[in-house]
Amino acid sequence: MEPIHFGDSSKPLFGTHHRASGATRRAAVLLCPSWGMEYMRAYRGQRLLAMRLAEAGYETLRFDYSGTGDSEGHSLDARLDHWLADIGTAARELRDLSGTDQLVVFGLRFGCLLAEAARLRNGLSASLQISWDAPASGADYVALMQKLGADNDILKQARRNRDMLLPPHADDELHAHAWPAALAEAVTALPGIAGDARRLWITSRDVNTPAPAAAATLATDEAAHWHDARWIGTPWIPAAPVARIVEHLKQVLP
Amino acid sequence: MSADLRETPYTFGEDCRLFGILTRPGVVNADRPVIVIPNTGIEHRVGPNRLHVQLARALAASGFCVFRFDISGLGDSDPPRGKSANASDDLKLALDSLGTRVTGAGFVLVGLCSGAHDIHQFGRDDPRVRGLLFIDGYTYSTPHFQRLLWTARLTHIGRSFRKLFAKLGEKLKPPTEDAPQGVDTDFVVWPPKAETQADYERMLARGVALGFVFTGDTQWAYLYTDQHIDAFPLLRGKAQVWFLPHIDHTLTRRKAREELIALVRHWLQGLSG
Repeated sequence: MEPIHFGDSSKPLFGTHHRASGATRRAAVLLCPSWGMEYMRAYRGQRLLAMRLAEAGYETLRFDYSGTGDSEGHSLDARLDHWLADIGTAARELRDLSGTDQLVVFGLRFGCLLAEAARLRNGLSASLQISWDAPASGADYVALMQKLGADNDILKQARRNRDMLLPPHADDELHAHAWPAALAEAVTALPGIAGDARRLWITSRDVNTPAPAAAATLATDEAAHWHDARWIGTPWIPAAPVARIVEHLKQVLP
Repeated sequence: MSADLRETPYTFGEDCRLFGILTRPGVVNADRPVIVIPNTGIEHRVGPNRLHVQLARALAASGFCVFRFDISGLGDSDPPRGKSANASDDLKLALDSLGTRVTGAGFVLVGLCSGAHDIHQFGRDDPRVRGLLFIDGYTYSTPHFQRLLWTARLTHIGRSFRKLFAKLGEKLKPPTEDAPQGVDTDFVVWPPKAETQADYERMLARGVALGFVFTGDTQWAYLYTDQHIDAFPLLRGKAQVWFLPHIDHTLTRRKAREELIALVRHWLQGLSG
């Protein structure tokens, strides 16, 4: 595991490069994370996925979008266009690091929508798109974040004295994270994934977003609980599904 | 992040199994302590709602070097081989690694929740530690706390309102029977009061600056500003305590994060003269 900063040196992105061990395969994998609470919850799971991919011979890069995680930028300055450009920057970085042009773009949750938008709007080229638990659309994802934020507040307020209730969120916050109006508008307008790219569509047991017509599908046996506020504080570390996904990739991307 | 701040990610410890990010100001002032922030709960070094990132950058903008890192088994750090993970061991390795990278006047550790527990256990004995800031750390009852608690319980005007919340909360209670194996969500065991008192005596004898922040999510264990001073009179005049009932433990509101960051910065600047 090699932590790196890359991209524009005045506003670098933070990433972690997992070098392929053993026989290196032709494809490299770019992991596009989700956002907010899902990003936090899935951090260790994405690390596990990256490690297993690297052990299987795939050069792998995971990274944080600008204004999120360890990357440069204030959360209030986050914009959809920046995030789509970040995916392109990360793809170039991974091509440089791995020396391959055969790229797999692997999105998790909201990251699936971002990766698809980067493909459609910015011409991000990939030999395979992988979408794990993709939301139905940007609006669907935002509605879920609003619901989870409200549910989480109910849990918090229930434990507080009535004269010490929490103030409401600011208008530019979503589920405890900065959510400026321009970002909110752009994300809400993101369509669902219907593209004709070569795609692997992965779903957890409790996710039922319909797959695009041309996608190959892989259904895992584990529930992810993305829709349940009670699981916000529980890390998502899907060891068995990760093993299955990596085995599948070894078959389709030797 | 300001243009003159620099962030350096690095691995450290045996087998380079631990990971953290050092944030440095453009000009390092060697008279200032280096700030170290371990994890909060199970969240990686970014902290709850990115608090640790914002805190590190704000403090670096005020001239402090800040290191936030993942303890064993969290974020990008691996557990040790052949022995149990121990946050005190990790903190020691973190300070060792910083000793060769930055020059500063000792270390001040800032910990939230489980982080407060971790810095207490480590900071008790390590002579390099100059200050400790505990956010939602250990709480202990006092007679006045008991009076406030029972008064609130017995005379609560909005009792039915709260019951409604409680019912909704019960519906949303974590499904522990279905929780993943191996995930420990009960982070901290409070030490007996006498043990904590002895620890504070040792810290104060070494000249360690102590600060305590309690948020409103501790309100069934902490109900007034001086509760910790009343529980430990030896702290009177020697430690600072803040009770912030309007903010929550995971700082879900941006204003809460900004207020806490300002508080921490002010306290640290006071220590540094």
